[in-house]
Amino acid sequence: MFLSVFRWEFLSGRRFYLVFLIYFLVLFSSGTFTSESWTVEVKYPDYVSKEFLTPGSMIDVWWNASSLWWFLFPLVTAYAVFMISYEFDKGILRTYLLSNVGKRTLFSAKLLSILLGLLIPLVASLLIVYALADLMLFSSTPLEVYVNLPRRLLMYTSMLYPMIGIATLCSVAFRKPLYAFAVPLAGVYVLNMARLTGISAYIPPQCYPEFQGSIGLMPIGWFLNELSMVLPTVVTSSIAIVAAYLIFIRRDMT
Amino acid sequence: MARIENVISAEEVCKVFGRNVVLNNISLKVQKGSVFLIMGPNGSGKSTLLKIITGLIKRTRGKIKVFGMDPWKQRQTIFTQVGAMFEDHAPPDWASGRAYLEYKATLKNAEEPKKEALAAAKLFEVDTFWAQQVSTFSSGMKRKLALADAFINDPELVILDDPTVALDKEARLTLQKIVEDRARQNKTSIIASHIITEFENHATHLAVLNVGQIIVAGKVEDIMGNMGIHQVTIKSEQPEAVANILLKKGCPIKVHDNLVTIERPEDLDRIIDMLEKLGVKAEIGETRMNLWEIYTKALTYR
Amino acid sequence: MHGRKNAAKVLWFVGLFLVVTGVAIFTWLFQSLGGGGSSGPILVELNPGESIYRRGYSYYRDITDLTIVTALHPQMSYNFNMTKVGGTWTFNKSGAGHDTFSVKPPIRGVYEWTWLVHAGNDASGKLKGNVMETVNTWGSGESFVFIGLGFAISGLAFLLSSFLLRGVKRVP
Repeated sequence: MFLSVFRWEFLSGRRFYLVFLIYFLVLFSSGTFTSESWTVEVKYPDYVSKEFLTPGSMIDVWWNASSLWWFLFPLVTAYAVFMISYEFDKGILRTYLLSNVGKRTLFSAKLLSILLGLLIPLVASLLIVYALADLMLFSSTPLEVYVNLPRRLLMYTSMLYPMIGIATLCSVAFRKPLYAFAVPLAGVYVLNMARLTGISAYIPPQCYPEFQGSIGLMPIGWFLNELSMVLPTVVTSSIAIVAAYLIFIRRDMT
Repeated sequence: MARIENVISAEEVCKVFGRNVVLNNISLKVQKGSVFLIMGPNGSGKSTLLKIITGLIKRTRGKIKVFGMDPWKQRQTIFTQVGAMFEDHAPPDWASGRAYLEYKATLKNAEEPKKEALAAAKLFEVDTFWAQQVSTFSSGMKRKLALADAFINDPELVILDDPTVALDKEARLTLQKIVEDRARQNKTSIIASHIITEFENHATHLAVLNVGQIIVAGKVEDIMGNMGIHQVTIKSEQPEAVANILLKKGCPIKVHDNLVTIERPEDLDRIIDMLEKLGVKAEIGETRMNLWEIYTKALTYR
Repeated sequence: MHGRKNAAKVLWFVGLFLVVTGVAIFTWLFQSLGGGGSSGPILVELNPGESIYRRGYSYYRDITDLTIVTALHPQMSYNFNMTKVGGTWTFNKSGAGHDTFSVKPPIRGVYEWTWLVHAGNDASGKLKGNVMETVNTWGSGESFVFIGLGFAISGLAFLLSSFLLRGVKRVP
């Protein structure tokens, strides 16, 4: 049952084209690769050092994280609104529930659709961008260009996850799609204008810095340290998703 | 004596939205195999009651069981035996009618969803236009799609909220026939409607709602017996004597030749006894109310 | 008929994906991809007979101008080597003392470079010197044009095929 519901939800209607739009915008905003140099081995008379970095780690995508956040957040919110709030308002959700499908199944399928609707364009963009960064290296050792991919994906997912949490909660809480869309945007923008740290100001600190060196060369210890700063928003977003689930289950489907 | 099985049993069900009491102490039982008609003006709570029965809305107070289960907690399970259609049925307009029905058949755990969807679609000739997108359907076509949806898997209990709105004559006749056939197969149908003429001859049970309360409920024949006599015509050689007696009793009458007509007599048996005792020979004829007249009469009760 | 419809759907989405990819890649042509700068002089201090070896990777964009200036003691020799990772292009330069040379990596990508500086055995006392590197690298975007157009045109072909398939009427 879950697979059928998920397939229907993910491929449903015109909102599937939002996935293409997200893919285009993510791909459009990349295409800038860092120019960097890194010493991996030195042999001095009294000192020897070697770092086990691979050529692929030099291929890094210089994305301006703040611009990505600002165009992705309205899209994520719109996606969640069309998935949930719009269907609730029009009575489509009620029509689905006149069957053996459980609310838990329906909610999970919708949430997974939102997640994949964002992650698939992201992964596809990165796969293409890294391959094009050095076609010659890609054609000789394809996997070499993707050494940065897992860390990039993790940083990116940590940026998307708070968006998904807020958008899902607002879509479930507000029956009217207009409010479900406007409230999270207004809230985040106001927070940002007031310079309050939190969701609005959150961009993974060294996700795609404009001035720093390539994250691909960041030692694992630093990387984990930066990732740990993500924790508060991950926790908040998870709480938002749980709250959304509880509201969805208990809500009257009038 | 055969045990009557209640498909639905509601006890003092209440529903409050904010400060609005939409349903107030609703108690009723729906027997298996019955054709249960629920009538009431707009805002009387019919749809709310049906949504509680189908587990879409949680009751504020009271008990309700559908096939012995709490519909709010076990909605998925009761829908193995239930099909429902609401007045504002809303399929996603981007899908084709066919895709939608096949999906709903999957959601209803049909063994062969495509086959079940086709069987349901054929009932109302939905298969003639179901390849198109729902957004291109007229309101009548959407209504037929909704009906087909409700009849997927030929469920034990079908709940229809205002099913005949926007339907053409053929479809209405088809629906009546289906309801009739289902009753013969001991399957239950609940129909909420303003337009009761279509199901008047098939309804076995009736409930009239007004302002969230049940005014009248029960078997149609019992209700007819209790409140259904519309007019009594007394044919007598002594119409003036009859008229005088009845006027003294305060009965509203009309006299025409040797016919005295009493409109909606309160206590017919007493009137007959009285005339017999006074030695008035008369032929008594009754005209019974139809369901609509019963309904309008019931609405005057509060 | 059903198979044709499904094929049209597949072609539609594949075509859309290719067109979107192509157009996005094409737009990279117009993005500013400049970068580079000078790295500070690397100081070298060696006793007679000692060597310093450094190896590293660099990422350069489509057009790169690399100028290296050595200000080494006359008895210090150097060898500079650069190789395209995943390719065949190499550059090698050897010399001693003061020298200047340019390197033009031919294509965008990762390069491996090695530096070897050796102090002659005959030298008396510690030898000093430095090496300075200046790099200017731009993305010209030329390759994006071809790749982008390639995706976009093939995508349009798929979309057109999808339209044609859908438009085919059943012959009674």
